[in-house]
Amino acid sequence: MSLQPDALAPSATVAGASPSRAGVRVQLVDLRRRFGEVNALDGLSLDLAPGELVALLGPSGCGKTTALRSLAGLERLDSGRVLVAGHDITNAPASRRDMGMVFQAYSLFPHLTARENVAFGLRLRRMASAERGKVADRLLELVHLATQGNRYPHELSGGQQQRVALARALAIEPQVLLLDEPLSALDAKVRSALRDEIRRIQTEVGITTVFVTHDQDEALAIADRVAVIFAGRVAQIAPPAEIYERPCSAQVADFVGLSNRIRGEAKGGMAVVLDARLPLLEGSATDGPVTVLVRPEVVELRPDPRGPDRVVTVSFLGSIARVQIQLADGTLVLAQVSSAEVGHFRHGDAVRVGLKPTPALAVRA
Amino acid sequence: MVAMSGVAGRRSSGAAALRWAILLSIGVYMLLPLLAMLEFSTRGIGGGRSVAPWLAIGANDDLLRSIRVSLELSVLTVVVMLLLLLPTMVWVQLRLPKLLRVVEFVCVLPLTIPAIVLVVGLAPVYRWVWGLLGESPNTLTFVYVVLVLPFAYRALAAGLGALDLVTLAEAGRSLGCSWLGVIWRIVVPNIMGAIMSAALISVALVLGEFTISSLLNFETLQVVINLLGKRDASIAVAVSLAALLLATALLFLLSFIDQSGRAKARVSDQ
Repeated sequence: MSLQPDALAPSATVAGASPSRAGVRVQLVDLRRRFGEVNALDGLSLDLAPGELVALLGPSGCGKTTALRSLAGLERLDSGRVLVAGHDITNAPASRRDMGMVFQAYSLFPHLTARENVAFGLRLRRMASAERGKVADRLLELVHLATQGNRYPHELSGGQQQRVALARALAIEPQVLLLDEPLSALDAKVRSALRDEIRRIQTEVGITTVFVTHDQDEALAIADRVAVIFAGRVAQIAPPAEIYERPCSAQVADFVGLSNRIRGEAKGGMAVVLDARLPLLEGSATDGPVTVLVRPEVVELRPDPRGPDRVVTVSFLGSIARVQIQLADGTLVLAQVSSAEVGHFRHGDAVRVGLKPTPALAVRA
Repeated sequence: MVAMSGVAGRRSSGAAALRWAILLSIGVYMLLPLLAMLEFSTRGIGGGRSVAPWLAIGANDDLLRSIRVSLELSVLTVVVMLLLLLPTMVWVQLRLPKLLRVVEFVCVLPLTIPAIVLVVGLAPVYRWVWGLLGESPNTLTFVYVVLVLPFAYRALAAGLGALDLVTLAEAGRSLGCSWLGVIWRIVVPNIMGAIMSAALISVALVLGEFTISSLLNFETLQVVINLLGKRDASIAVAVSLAALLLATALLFLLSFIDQSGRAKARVSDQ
């Protein structure tokens, strides 16, 4: 075990006094963990740059939470290594890892007020009471709860409790911030606001952060990079736009965003689909009949009384709308149109479907 | 509408009357024996009233010694029970949840074993205990801890069940708490009510225990009350009533300490 010698010592530049701190590099190397017959982690590796926010995204049971808990020291590993700032902490207990964690379930200590909760970790580090109070107040200010410090957890809303939990995690000036689906218990509006707030604070503090979620929108909105995990392995790790626009496999494309599957023909690095020629992404099938994965926003829709395709449904979603079309061969395709255009399409209308010439992924038909 | 509110009013006053009737019945059922004890223990010669049996309590050295022994046993039993049971229950819930049923079974088991059987089984063990620790009445602590296990387990289990123990413990660990710190700083303050209940029920049980201490030849409160009863029934009844009132007072005291502790914490934070 090689922890920093002052991992639990009171810090001279405690968070809140000046909420900026260079992040550290975090490496997960070939992590393996088996629960009975299930491989929760099957050689998962990740390398986080200092100050980076990486979202672990995947379906339930894919191993993302196990990976986070392994990093926190709350889960034993069968094999693999965890390195923080170059130090191997694989066998260090959770209490000595110097990591702040926000849990999915509300985890504030019920017998303590919000301020006492924030100061809890500092008390363990034997910080003087007055200084502890100041730091707690500054952290509560950082999460916009300066006036709620005397409230007990049961007197706070879910969103407020998670903010206090975030302040508590940051108060100890951890090397790494771990967020285990911290927004999943909140309603949509609070979730979106708190997501932005987490990103703002993370950017301000500059702390290396791992954010676990099963919500693709959340992952794409908040992360510097998104690691898509399936069956205990990282399927792809890349910036959000790249994950969305250049998925490495059909599985990633299907999981992140909506994808249409349209039959076409691949030849010479291009796919011919619905009379359009699309450049093929790396990893695509290159010859013969293929199924091309196309995002709804790539689909072009024109009202045409003599068009071969028919509108099936129109879903208004505020700023955009999604139109489901049945192609002449019976394939159902989703197109995304602006809310201004939505009035042009009604159930049963004849339309003509085209595709913008953007790169697409093709798999064998 | 008026008719409906009239019906609702009659129903409500009927329910209130029923509540009072139940409360009164239970009150009479509980208080009548106590009043009878008070009446009996204050009967004087020639039909008058006398507090002589009550005053005799303070003058009886055997009785005072037995009260001290029983109170010491109560404190020791509570301390050993909490030290043994609380960390075990927390640990099993956090790390070995598959053993929860086993621990529950073991803890509840003493309830099914008659005290006389316990004594027969424990006699050889106690010969060894006395050889090691001397024949102090405080050695009864071991068997009393076993006796209070079922009741204390239930009280503590209810307290722990109301907490998301796993998440709170993990939150504490991630903030730098040791396992002992998790128990002391997080679990104990959050189940103080359950700990008080477990302590109170243990005290009540120890103060009222007769069979084991009698068979093992220790002069605890109940044993001395029994001996006194053979010489002077008035004093014996007075002591029994006093012990009962003491247990009730303890209940209120513990409850008051718990409540005022919480209130103070709240006030100091506001």
